Amino acid sequence: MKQLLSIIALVLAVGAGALAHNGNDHVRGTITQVSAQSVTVQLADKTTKTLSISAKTEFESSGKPGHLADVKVGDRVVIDVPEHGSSALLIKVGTAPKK
Amino acid sequence: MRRAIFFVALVAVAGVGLWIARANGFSTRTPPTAVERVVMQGLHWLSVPRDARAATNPVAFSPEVWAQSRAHFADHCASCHANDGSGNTELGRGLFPRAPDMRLAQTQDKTDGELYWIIENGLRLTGMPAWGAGGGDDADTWKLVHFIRRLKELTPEQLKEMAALNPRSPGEIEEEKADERFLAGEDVESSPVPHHH
Repeated sequence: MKQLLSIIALVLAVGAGALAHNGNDHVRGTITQVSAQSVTVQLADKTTKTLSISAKTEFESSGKPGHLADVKVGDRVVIDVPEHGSSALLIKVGTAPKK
Repeated sequence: MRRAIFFVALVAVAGVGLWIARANGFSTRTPPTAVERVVMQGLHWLSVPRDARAATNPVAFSPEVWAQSRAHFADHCASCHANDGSGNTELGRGLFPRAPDMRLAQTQDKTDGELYWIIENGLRLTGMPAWGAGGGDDADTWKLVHFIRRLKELTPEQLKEMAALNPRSPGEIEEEKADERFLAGEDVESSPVPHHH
C-alpha cells in the first residue's frame, strides 16, 4: 500500500510539472542609427536589426569600458543579445569601416 | 468504505496526472513542483553525514586564497553556476532543478561542512557532480567554500577577470577571434552568430 502511494505521489508530482532555454546571440555589424533608446545595425547580408538599450547595457570601446557616446554611425560593433531577445547586453565598438 | 473511496479518488487523480504527463511529456524547463522540491530537499539534507556537516574550514582566508578560488570557480564551476554564483547560465537554467542562486539563503544557510561535502561528493538527482575524491582535506575545495561565502563581495573588475578564465569551446574561441578581426576593420563571414549550443 505504501509503495503504491509513493508511486502515485511521484506520478502526481511529475505530471503536474509537465504542464508548466537560453544563451546569448551575437550580432555583428555596422551602426546605421543610434539613440539613447536603441541602436540599429546593418548586418553582413545588408539586413538591419534594431536593438534596445537599457540601464543594464554595457559598452566596450577598444577593449576598455565605454559609454553610449562611444557608439557612432558607421562604427563596427559586436553586440551580445539574449537569445530570442532584442535588448543589447554588451556593445563592443570597433573602428569605422575602411573607405 | 471511506478508505475505499479515498483509494479510488487517489487512483483517479493519479490517472489524470499520468494522462497529463503522457500528453505533455517532461521537460527540465519547468521548475520542480512543490512535491519534487520537498523530496529533493529531504534527499539533499540526507546526503551530508552529520560529522561532515559540522566540519569547519581549515584553510585560512587571505587575498591569495580569494584570488585562487575565483580562478578555480571561473574554470570549473561557472559554466553552470555563473561567475557571480547566480546560476544564470545556459546550462544552469536548463538543469533540473536549475542551478541555485548561491548568494541566497538556500545556499548561504548551509554550513561550511555541507558546502564542502556537496562540492566533493556531488548531489544525486541534480546536475552537481562530485569534484573531489571524497576526503575531508582538499584545500582547493575548502577555498571554494570561502569563495561561496564571499559571492556578494565580487567587484565588476573581478567578474571580468573571471570571465576571461571561463572555459570556451573551439567554436567560441574562433568566434571571438572573428569578432576581434571584424572590430579591427577586416571583413568576416556572417552575422548574427548564435553563441549557444
